[in-house]
Amino acid sequence: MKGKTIVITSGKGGVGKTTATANIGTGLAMRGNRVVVIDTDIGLRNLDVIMGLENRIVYDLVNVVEGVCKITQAMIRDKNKLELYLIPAAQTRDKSCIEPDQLREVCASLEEEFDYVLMDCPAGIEQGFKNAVAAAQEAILVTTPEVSSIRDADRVIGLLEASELHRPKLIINRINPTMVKEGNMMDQRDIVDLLAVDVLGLVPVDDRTITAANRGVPVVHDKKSPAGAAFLRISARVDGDAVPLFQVESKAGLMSRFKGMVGINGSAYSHA
Amino acid sequence: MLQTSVVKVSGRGSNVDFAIDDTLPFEMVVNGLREYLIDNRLLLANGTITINAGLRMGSPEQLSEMRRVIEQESGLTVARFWCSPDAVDQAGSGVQPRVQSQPSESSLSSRPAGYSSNAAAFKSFSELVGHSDELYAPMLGPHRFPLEVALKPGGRAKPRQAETPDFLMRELEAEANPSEAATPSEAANPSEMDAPDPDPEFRRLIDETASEPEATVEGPFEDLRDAAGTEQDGGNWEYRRDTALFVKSTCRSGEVIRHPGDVVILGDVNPGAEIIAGGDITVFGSLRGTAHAGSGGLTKAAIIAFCLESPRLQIGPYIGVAPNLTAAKGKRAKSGELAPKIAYVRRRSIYVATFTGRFAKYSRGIPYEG
Repeated sequence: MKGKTIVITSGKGGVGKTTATANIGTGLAMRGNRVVVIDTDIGLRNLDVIMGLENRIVYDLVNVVEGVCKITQAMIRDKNKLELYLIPAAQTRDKSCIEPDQLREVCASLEEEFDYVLMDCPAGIEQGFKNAVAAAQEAILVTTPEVSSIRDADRVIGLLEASELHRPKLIINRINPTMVKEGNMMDQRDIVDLLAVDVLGLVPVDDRTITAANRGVPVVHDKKSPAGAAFLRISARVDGDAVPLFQVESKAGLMSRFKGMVGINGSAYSHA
Repeated sequence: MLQTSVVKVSGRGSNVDFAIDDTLPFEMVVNGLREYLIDNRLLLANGTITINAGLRMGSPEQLSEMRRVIEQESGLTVARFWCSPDAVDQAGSGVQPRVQSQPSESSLSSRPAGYSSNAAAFKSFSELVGHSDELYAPMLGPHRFPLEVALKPGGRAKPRQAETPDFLMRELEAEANPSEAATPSEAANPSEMDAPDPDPEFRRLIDETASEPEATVEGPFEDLRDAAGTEQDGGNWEYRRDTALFVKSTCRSGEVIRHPGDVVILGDVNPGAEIIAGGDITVFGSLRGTAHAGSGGLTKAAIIAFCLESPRLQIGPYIGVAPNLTAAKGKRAKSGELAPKIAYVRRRSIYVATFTGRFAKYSRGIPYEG
């Protein structure tokens, strides 16, 4: 089996990289793939918390790289017994513990066993980013509809292209349809115009994402959550299915549910 | 930086710096200075100036003469004279090893070859020197090297060696070879010097030079795209007419594109990107990053973009700041129009007008300022 290594990055912090990693990983596993997610944010690990696995950590990525343990020993299986495994980051070390080549080696050996290797990239464009990017074959870029986040995403696209990761896919996270409608938030078309990359998915702002993260259950498990549904569709697209970008007005069922949640009446806005 | 052949003036805020060519004969300097001051009397109504006297620092009579001319011909007061330390060293050693100090090159470098914008400067210079054999000798002589050097960075009162690209430095060093850098009188060819106007001859030589393939050109250009953006203040080189840079991609945040000639970009220039060109900048897309055209002081340079939304434009020494950017942004989002705009210098500030497909004089622009 020859899998794919995908890095999930953003440049700016707090835009939802870790949430996206957990949810896309879970979504891919729910579709029957064998998936491993790696937290490369050494020193500031979060992915284990989002996935609810923080109590099960014995070994971490730095132990693997240093040869303290085997890769399989560091892998923690998902709570829901999906074919989903986590390699956590070390909390007591820092980014300089790992060289790009070492991470590349780890990913290469994981690709033999798994369909997808997802890497949660740390914020910033320093060593941690370089490590994660060096090991990846594809990149997913997460941004929110804010100028600062988009500026950073633009910079990161430039850096990804410089390291031979062409045409990263874009996820626009935390879109607030009400604000977009009122003209107080950037429209997704403006963002895509500016960044000139393909859109992988549009995720609406959703309080359930936060409660799900707090409970340690990725929001894709929540059948009522629009964000969870968006992440499921994103997973399908990553998996190669041609799921069209979701149009709110064309799907009455979901739309009314969505309207009920955010309290708006009929929006020309489209989200996925 | 304003430049005549003899006097270089740079202003920042309330400070104005005069830099005067080290190597020209002193009468010429005085005449040039006087001419400059008469031409620009209105600009220099009153104030205090400092003078970078360069190699002349050692001569009190000349300095006081200069002070007299300046204070007589304008309302300025001379606060002090100064020069860079290496100029003092040169003056002390009595030799001028640097090619940049050659009179011909100093004078020529202020005049980008064949570019109409500096024709006026050139004319005043040629009037000033009266077609002096001494000054034109090197470029009309059998060597083409001095001519080549004249097109390159260098030829300043203060050499900027650190910012000169490597391949240029190699050539400059080669030129510094005493046998090549012939003294003006040696290289003079009297028959050619009889031409009433040296300009056509000069232009012909320039064109020949420009059409020759330059093997060294390829390398440095690949490095022009400096994604790290580590260099600072490197864009102050002379305009090179014979090279243009064509970028066929989006320029993203953090990218810096530097080029001594014109720059053409097929794609957007995103916020946070920076374009620095010695000549014009043309963007076939939206210009949302900063752009500096005519970075060598060429105020006739222009910036053209399908969608001009730059927060900061600079042409030569003049800076324009976007007029109420947020309102403009909202307007664009609604109409989605792509009206090509041209930014140019008029009355020492940046104006923007709708581009009509020509480089002729634009008059109905609006100022680009906050």
